[in-house]
Amino acid sequence: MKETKLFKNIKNIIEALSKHEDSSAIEVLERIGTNCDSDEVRSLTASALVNRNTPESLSIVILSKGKGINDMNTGVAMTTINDILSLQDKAIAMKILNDAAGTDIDEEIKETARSVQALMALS
Amino acid sequence: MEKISINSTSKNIFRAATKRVENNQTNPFGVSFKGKILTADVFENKQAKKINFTGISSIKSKMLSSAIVGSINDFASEISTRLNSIANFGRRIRQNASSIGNQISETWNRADAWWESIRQREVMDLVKSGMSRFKDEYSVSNLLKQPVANIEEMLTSHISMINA
Repeated sequence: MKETKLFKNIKNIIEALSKHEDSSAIEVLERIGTNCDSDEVRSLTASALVNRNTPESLSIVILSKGKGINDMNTGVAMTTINDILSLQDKAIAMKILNDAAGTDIDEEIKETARSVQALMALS
Repeated sequence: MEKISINSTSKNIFRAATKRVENNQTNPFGVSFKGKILTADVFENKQAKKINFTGISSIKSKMLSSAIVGSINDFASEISTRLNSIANFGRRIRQNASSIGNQISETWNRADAWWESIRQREVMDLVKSGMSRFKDEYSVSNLLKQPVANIEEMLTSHISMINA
């Protein structure tokens, strides 16, 4: 699908949702993008949510069950972690990762959050 | 009157000298010419011929008529020459006019082709602008101007195209 006009349009739409001033764009990304069958669309959606860099968007990527890093396939998860590590302002991401240990979420998700936190500390 | 000639002068040179006295009677000035005394007849023609004015006038009229006829012939030839030149000029003008007409029609055809190319170019520009507008519809800057609901519809339709 890469380099096709359809792919370029989807990429632009997801990027527009990541930059849109309306916060309801995050809900659209979560509802449509993260549930898409296509790995490319899910990867783009995760990157868009990371780049949005808000507590809501990063919570979906890091802590959400079935949609977050823990449940992504290896390639998409690695790309998303790389996007998190590439953030200019990591404060929100660090806070979410620190708070993950104290929240009522699956242990697997907490383990993944700790791994990402360690990577961020090293980066 | 005795004619003066070189032969007669050389032969009668001595005899002429003896006649000087009597000849001087009619020539009081005694003018000589090449050793011979000239008589008065040289200066005065006693039997002067009468001028025939009628003959002269007829000759003159003939000459005049001839001149007139000649001038008429010249005039006629000049007129025919000028007429020919006028005809040539007219012919040239007609040829030039036809060539100008051909050039005008050729220029018109070129202008028509040029106008047609402009129209085609305009149509192509319109198509391109329409395509670019369609293309720009999915640019990030244009998408950001639209409400999220519209963008959601676009995303849904595009994802459905992937699955199709």
